[in-house]
Amino acid sequence: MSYALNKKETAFPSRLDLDRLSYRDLLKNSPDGLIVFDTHDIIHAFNKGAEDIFGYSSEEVLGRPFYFLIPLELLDKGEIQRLQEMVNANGRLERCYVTRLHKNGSRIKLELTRSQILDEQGVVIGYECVFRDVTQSIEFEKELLLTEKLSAVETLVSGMAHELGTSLNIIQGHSDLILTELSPDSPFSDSLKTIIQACDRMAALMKTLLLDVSRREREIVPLDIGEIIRDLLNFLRIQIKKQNIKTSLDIQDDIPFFQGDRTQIEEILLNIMMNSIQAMPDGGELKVRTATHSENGWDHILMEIKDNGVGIPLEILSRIFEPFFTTKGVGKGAGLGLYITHNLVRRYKGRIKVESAPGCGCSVSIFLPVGPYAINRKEDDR
Amino acid sequence: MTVHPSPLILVVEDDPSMRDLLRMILEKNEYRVLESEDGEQALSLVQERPEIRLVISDIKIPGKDGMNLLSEVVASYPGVKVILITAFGEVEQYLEAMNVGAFEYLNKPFRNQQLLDLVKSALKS
Repeated sequence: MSYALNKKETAFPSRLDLDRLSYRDLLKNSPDGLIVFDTHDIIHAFNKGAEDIFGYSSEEVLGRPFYFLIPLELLDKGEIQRLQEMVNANGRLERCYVTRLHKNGSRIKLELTRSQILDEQGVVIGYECVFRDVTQSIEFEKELLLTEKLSAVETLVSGMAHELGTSLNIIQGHSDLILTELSPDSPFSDSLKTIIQACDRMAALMKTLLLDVSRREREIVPLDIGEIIRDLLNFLRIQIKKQNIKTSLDIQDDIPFFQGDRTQIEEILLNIMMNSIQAMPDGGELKVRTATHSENGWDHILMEIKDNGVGIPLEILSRIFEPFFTTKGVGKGAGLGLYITHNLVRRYKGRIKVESAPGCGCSVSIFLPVGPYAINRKEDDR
Repeated sequence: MTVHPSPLILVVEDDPSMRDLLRMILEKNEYRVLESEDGEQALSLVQERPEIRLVISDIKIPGKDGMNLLSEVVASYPGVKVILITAFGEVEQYLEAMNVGAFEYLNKPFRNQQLLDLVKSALKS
């Protein structure tokens, strides 16, 4: 189907008598949008509200089919036919939420009511759409929901901080004490070091959450992403071995240092790696790759973590970054890992791409913009 | 030749495992340690034992809380240093403690060496 829209249609079907309908006068200056179109989808009325909502003047749109107001992918999915069928089923479609295109290319959400216009014989000769722009209020509701969830996180974390902080201190402190008493070649000194490292990670996670609450500044330093990845894999080595997972590393040597907070970058990577490991309970391969990547004129560091585990079903894929969303069952995970990861990546103006399908493993790509202050590794080495 | 006894440190903490840990870290490094579970008892000990040079106290303790203990020790025993411990304190709490006159403020969990470094510099100052 072609949606070439620039050519104006000249013939207005005469059956649609706008004066008789008197919509023009009635809704001319209404803040609600009104569009009247005929059965050939040609626009006959486009009031002030519609002009404000879509950014087009009525002169620009009258006599044209309305397709250019609809995102292309929705047209391809049969949006027009879908709405048409819904309207024709009852003569009217009320308060339906749709996505449309503003003149500037941005997406807008509309709450739309569409009715048939009938002639004296009861034959459909056109449609009227009355709508308002609810983009802002939908975003607001989303923000509100997120804020509510976030404040639940804050309460939870603050409440647990004292108890968990003390317990972690006891575990780590006593392990430290034993370690100093143990001969360095004791087979248990590695176990103690692992316990101490695990406490460090746990403490860092709690601090990250709490620092989010108090919004304190991070310690931004040049980071060697490759080194962080190697350290993390070393930290996870016992779990990796236990689950019979093969690791393969492809760390590009010349990627620039990344200016960031080490704990946060570790958090981003660790959450993804942990999920990958958990997705391979019966063994598999964990591939970690770094590369440089150019996007919108900016250099990015790409970190790719790939597993050949159980994969993620489509209906879950869109929800994995929500707070408290977990598939791990009660007591096995708070559902905060990927939420934190997502927030941190966004804070660094980066993005995450997740590709997965059930049974086909999962590939997570994290793109972090290096920005104009990137420290070139070679310069730093000098 | 006079042998100087090692410095005496008062540890105030209501969690017995945490209190044990603090005592063991300090004793292992040749410090003498007195223990207390609450603020009231701690203040009496500071009063009774003038050789106490340092108080290490959790902020959340029964009786007088750590912050109250800090202000009373600072007001009445200027020679005694106080290190406060808390679980991931807020900036405001940190500033308050430092303004009242704490030597330092330590967030749980801390590493043993962190504590020892602080103790060393508190006793030196």
